[in-house]
Amino acid sequence: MMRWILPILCVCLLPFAADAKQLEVFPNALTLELKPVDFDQVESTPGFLQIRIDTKLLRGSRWRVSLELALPLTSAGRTFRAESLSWTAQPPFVSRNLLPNQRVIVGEGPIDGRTVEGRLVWRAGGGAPSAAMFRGRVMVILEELP
Amino acid sequence: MGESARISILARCRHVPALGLLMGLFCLPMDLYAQGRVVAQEPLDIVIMAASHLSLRIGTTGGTIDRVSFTVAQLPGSGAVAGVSSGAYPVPVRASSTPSGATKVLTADSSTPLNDGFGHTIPFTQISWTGAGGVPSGTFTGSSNQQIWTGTASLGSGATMSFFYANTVYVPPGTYSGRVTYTLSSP
Repeated sequence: MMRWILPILCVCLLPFAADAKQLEVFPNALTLELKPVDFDQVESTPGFLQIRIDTKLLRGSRWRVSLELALPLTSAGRTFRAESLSWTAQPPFVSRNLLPNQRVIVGEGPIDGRTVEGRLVWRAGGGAPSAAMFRGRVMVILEELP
Repeated sequence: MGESARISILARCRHVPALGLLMGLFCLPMDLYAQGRVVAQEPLDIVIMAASHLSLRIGTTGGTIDRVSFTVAQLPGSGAVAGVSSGAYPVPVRASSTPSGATKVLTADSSTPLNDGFGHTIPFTQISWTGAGGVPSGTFTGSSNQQIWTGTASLGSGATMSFFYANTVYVPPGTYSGRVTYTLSSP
């Protein structure tokens, strides 16, 4: 009898174990539409990104979330400047902009068993090099610090 | 005082190699760890939609249509009369596009002459302008599609037009009004 309990328990707990994630990002795609706000200024519609960190599943003393441009925003050989893509956020996350070849820290905090949640409001600004649809990819990276 | 301090430092230095070795043994993995250990990564796809657009402003911002007036107190042939605007003067001209380097053409429709409401008219060919900041100077032709300017750059701050009435035709006294419509297009 006892020899059946452990496998059954494992099978029952497997879906919960699979669902448990240290980092959740929603949605996983943002579309920002550039619109002229003045003659020399173009600004996009906002894009909202929710980030959730479950520190119960982390080791060490501090967590850190960074963003890194994995695929540059391009369209037919033209590139949209990474620096022109920025976000605003509330603590523990910070407002910054992307950088082309650099991991940008979005937030940092203690690993204390609490769930950290925040929203980044994204905007694209500056001028587009051409009228086109620029596509790229950013990686949201969660790190444990000792 | 200085000598004793030097001796003290030297004395400490003797322990440095041993201490460094000991620290190194324990700290090397910790130092690597201090840079952060990536535990999770999530991709975020970003799409930026940049539609092409043209922006044009002649005169004051907003929906106001500026009025340039010429008060003619002299007989025809006695010289041009400078205009006075209800808005900023010289009249500002702003033109831009996305993409910023697109070819832009600014045209004017002055085909409807100025009139006094009693059947008397003054052709727009009587009105000229002096351009600045990239706007060329010229005279209205009275046509519906007169090219005023073309270029790939934008017309920014400093681009203006100052208007003049030639005052070379005899017309009955009165107030003559007309409207010129500017259009910015990209071929």
